[in-house]
Amino acid sequence: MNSIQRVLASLTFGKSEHGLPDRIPTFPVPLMQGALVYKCTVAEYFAMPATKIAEAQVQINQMYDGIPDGVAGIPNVIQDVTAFGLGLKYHYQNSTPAVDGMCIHNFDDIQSLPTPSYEKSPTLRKTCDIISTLASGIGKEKVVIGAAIAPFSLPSMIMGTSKWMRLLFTPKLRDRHFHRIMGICKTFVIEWANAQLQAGAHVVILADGMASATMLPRNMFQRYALPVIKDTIAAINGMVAYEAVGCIEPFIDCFSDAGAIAMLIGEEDDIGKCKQALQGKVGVIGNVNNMKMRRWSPARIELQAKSAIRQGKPGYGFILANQGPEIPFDVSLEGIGALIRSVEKYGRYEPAAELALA
Amino acid sequence: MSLSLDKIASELYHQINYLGDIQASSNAVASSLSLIEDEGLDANFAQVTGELIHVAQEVCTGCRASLEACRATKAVLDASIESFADLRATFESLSTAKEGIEEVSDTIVGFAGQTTLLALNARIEAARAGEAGLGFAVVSDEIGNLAQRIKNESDTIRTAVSDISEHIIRASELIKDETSRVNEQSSAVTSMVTTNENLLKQGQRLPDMVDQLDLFLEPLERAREAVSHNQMIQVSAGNVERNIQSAYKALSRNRSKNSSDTPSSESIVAFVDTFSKMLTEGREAPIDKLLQSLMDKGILPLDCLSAIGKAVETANMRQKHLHVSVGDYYLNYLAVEQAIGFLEPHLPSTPPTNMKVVIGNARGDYHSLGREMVGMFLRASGIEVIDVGLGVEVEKFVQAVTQSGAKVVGVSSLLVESAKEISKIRTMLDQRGHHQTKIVAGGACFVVDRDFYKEVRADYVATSASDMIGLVQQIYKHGPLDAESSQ
Repeated sequence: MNSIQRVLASLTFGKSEHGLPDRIPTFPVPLMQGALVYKCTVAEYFAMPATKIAEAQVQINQMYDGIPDGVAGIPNVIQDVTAFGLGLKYHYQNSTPAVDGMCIHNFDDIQSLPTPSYEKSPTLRKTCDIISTLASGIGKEKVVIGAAIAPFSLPSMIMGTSKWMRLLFTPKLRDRHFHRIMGICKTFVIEWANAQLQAGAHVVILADGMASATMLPRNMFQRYALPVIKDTIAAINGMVAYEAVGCIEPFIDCFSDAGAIAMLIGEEDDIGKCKQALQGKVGVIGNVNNMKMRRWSPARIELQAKSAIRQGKPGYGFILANQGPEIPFDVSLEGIGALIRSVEKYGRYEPAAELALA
Repeated sequence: MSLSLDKIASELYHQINYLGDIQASSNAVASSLSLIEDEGLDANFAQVTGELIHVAQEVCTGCRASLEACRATKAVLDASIESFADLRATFESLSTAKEGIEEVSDTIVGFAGQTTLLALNARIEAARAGEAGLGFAVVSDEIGNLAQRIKNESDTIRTAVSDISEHIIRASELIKDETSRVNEQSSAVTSMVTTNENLLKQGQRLPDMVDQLDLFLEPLERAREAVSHNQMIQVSAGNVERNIQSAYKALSRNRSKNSSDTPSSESIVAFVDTFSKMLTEGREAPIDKLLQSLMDKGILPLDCLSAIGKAVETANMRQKHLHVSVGDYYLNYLAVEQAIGFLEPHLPSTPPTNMKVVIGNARGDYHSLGREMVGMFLRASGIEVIDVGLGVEVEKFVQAVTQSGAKVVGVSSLLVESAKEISKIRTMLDQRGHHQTKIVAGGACFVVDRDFYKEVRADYVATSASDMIGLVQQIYKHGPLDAESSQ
């Protein structure tokens, strides 16, 4: 069983043509660690040509004996703002870049904001090249992962979180600008996600940091965020995994029919309860604390991964991963290895026994 | 009015006493957790449980090998016992053969005796025959000699058979002894097999048992967070206590100003109640109208600000026990912003208290939401805020401390690398002689890993605005908390 078959078997709860998975799949997200392959800084690594970035991701996969079932085709998600004409700035050489400026300074700027296209951003076009390089090679067996900032969260990147919150929570501003800004962001995200799928990504992750239970009261989430999420997923021509980048368990029941194939959950979320709420219709990906991985020993990481596996294993539909977004650069390679290798040690399925638990 | 305030105060003191009990038990748990942490026990636990499983697997492998060896040995011993039994049977049949040989030998001796007698008779008859019997006499002599030799040989055979018989008896006894020893060994090996089988069963259970031990680790993490949460509640409780006292002072001030003091004092309490409920429930309320009504009753703008602070504190206390999103706090922020905006033109230019705090986002961090909200709530609590802004260099934080004399610096960061700037701020503060200035870390990366603040050398971590208010008030009014109770 190769990785693609394993992931499909797992996320379809054994109902795909591939039958039951042989073990829990794993999707670690070592985006910045490609710099270690070339012994350069993260900033230098992200500036490399697409083929070099793709090659680094392949090498990282091989470094762990091909156990990881997915390879990421995106260097980071912050880059999505480049479609809006914004630049990226590295304040630290071994970190993800930050947005250099905002394109909405006053709320009325929203009314004149054009809908951007990924094609106008060389950075995003390069990402398509990374994805297509991966898809034509390792992607024959491994899941190639794309990602985009979800429409509901994108405004916080182009106008600042504070301004976006003010718009959301001030009825007059919301009435005037919400639908316009959501329309722009949805159109862009759908086009960008479809471009990644077209380039060869098997799945696109929608990262929605502003729509979690950490950020929103439930009534606001249901009224404003959820419809946007559903519309966006419905218009993307392929598999979508949804990531709230925070706590999502209080809203998880809203996702059993939202169209996503899997939910990336936060470290606070209970894997078992999330799986139960999703009723065997949507898989769960998660949720080892990526910040704590920085100071945990490999043995401690393995223990945490084992605990996640224990909760996620019964009944299939679980993929082991770090909590989103990516693994921090200063997590040791041994630590990442402990996370990855735990699926071989503890995540093997014995079909008959596991089926009984389902 | 005084009666109702007394009633509220009494209720609050009552609750604060309960919080004191919670604090005492929290401290006990915290000190245990701290011990676990200091000794790196949770990390060691992971190491040890990992090794335990490894050892269990080794023991099981050893048991399996030992079991195999024991079973093989037992098979050999059982085969030996069977062989010895065959050997004994063989010796017993030899013993029967010996008796047969003796019988044959006796028969031969009998024949030899009869032959000797016959030879003697033949010799007599030969002597009687004279010259003609001479040849026959020689034959009869030889027959007699032969009979004697047969007898002698038979005796030799009998003696030899007797010797063999003795050896057979000794060998048989030896085999008997040896069989008994092998039987004992076989029993011992059987017992070893049973022991090894039991060991293997126990060894195989060990990984599952270690798995159960792992389950303690998660609650440990949660306990640590809960203790930290309880400690911040205690800080808030202290503030509520102080707020009650300041409410009494405000009442006294208003009593001295108004002959009809009771209605205006009641108005403050009613405002705190309405505004705090509005904040807790995220309801919209006519804040400007409420505040104007207070001021129309002759209540000083500073006391109105103090009432807003109390309402925020009360709302925060209530919300601590609920699942509250950033959005819920943001609604409070908007309401407080509106209230302060209304009061600002009426407030004196000098700050109401001596409490000052420098706040800012570290270099490379452009997530202003948390900083802005904390700043607003601090202002509402009468704390002067020196906001150095977004993506601020270390130097700027330290300059602000030097210029303002603030005892507290709040540094917010969402990103790990930005958060590491706090360590540089600490170094520069120390270099400039601000050893007593305390740094409070806040922001998403400290929410995901509360212990991260230690790595960046912050003194405290605040994961909400009320945590920050509590810490600032605590530091100004009672001096810094000890490190343990700040976690």
